[in-house]
Amino acid sequence: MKIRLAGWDSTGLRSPDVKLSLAEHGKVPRLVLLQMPNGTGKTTTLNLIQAAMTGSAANWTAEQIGDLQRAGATNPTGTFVLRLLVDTSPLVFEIHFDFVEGAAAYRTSSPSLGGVVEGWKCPPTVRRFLTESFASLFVFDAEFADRLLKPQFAEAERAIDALCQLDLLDRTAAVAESDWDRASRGQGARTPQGLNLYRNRRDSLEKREKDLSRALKGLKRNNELLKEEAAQHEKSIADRIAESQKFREQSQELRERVSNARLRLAAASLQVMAYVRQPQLLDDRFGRALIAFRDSLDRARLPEASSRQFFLELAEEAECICGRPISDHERGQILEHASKYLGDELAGVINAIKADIGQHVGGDVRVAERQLYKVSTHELGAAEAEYHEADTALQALTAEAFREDEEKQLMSIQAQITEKRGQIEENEDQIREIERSARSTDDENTLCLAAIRKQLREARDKIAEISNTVRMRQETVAIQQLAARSKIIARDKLREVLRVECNERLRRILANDPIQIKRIGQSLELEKQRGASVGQTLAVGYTFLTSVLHRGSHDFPLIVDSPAGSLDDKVRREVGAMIPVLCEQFTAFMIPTERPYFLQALESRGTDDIRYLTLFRKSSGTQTLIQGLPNHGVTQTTNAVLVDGRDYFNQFELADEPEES
Amino acid sequence: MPIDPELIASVEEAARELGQEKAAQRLLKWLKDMSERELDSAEELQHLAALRSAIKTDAEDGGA
Repeated sequence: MKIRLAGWDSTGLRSPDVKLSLAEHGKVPRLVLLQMPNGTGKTTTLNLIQAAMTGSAANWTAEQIGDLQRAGATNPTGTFVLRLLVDTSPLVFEIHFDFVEGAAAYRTSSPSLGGVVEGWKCPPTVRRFLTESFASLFVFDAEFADRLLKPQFAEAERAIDALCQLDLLDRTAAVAESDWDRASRGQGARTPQGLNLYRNRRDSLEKREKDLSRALKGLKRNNELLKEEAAQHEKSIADRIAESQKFREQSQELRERVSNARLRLAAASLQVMAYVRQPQLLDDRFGRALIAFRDSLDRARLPEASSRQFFLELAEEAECICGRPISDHERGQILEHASKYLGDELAGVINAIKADIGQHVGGDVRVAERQLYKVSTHELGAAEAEYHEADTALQALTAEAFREDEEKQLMSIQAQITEKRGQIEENEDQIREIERSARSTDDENTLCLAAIRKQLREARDKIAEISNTVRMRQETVAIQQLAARSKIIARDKLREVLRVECNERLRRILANDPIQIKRIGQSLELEKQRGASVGQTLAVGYTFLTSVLHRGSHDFPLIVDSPAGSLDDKVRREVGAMIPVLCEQFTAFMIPTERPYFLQALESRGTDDIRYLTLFRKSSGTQTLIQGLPNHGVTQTTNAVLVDGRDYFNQFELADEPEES
Repeated sequence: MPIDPELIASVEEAARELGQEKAAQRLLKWLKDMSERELDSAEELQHLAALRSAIKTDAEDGGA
């Protein structure tokens, strides 16, 4: 990708009205020398070129914009148009200045933007280079070279970072940071400390879950043992009672009665439960409610997927299912109304519910079943009464046996049974608490195993979530460390490489008055910097920029204000000879007094691809110049003259814009 | 435009220092792509994901 300066138009501004076209058939000259007397608006034009490239005028103050209006002029607007070539494609930025409102408005045109668009719109391919920071590296004045030597400006570091693309490392770090920020937004804990809190909670919940599971198992096993022991004791009591002549037979009989009554009670319970599952048998009100529910459901429909074919086939039959013949009229009616009877798959479920309610609620079936239900409840009552009666009789017999037991052995065994039953009861209370459903009020101290497992699941989920965030943060930090460290190493390497390279060139350029770069940090540090002349400083600046530009393989137009203004004759020769190899397009804004030595050196490099332009204002002081204009290569606007040609360029001697007379 | 050989060497050196050798090539691939064209957001995130997957961290999965 290469950028070329193809020209500019200036109208109604402090600089003269001019339309400058540098491109011919998509090609621009390698060197453009634009000679303008002091006061013709060199600095204004350079500022406008930078502003057009970077979109910065949109942020200018009304005062800055007002300064662009020619002194004494009353025109309400002014326009600056910058034409660039990006590779071979045109890119045009237009700034419209409104001096009344003190505002600047942009328009951009480019084939990649689809033509002309409002505002400063930079095609993505060059956006990175057309920033204020970057553009100032290739559109600059002699003061820039001076700033390269001043640490407070850090221009040398900025130039290395931008032109050697170290800034790209910052971009990777920034993308990683914003990605992490987006991913972790809205999450609570995002740090290793937060993660540890949840890990501790998980560990304690895991321990609690294990303890409770173990306790539950122990309680159940203990209860089994206790029940077994209680049963043995009961058997022991029964055996002792049976040993007595007096109680043996009665005891055996009662035990059999109790046993049979228990079986009868169980059977009756099962029977009643079977009826309880049919609520319409319990009470008429259930039956009536079910009928009302059935009637509120949609009219019967058939599942469409499986039933549509039924109607299609029926319509083809000669006779209906009711036995009547099907004529064309009936056939049409069947097909037309079939959809009324078709519904979605849910229709099948609704039909089944309706059919079940019809079958089980109401009619003779209901009456008969209710009768059976009543019989079974009577049986349950009778079984229960029988059981209680037998059990009470057995207990009474046992109590009598206890009373007659002089050694009180039975009492002692019974006391053990009572104790064991108490333990069993206590254990069952705990088992119920451990096995109950979780409640919202349960905390980590609860005995409820389901609640602990729920909290454990939540803690594990949270850990997974935070772990991901923490891992992502660690990756982000590692990426940023890698980018930052790479940049530091690259800067150090490049600084040293550039220092050696620059010093070698400076030894040649300033052979009679050499100066060397001691160190490149944020700025350039010279050996004996205090004694360096302006010319030496500028030579160092050019040398450095040349080296960095070459290193970065950038193909930008270098646009310089007064390239040889402060140089002495010798340095002018050197700098003049250096410029043609600086870049592929060099545009210099210069005054006539810069020509000596500089121009000869420039031309001596063998390039004939040089455009010589001379621009001056029309004024009473330049009337004689206007009268002496050449026949060819002259363009005049209302307030300026532009002459294209080497001869005129070389003979032009007006160093300063004359005062209006 | 190609990225500076010193930049390439520096990324490799930094990666060695930080024990992120595997990540160096992913980062360089991203830098090269960026130096040649303007990347859109999706492309940047693609490079970032590749780089993340090559980064070594001491984060645990929490045993969850």
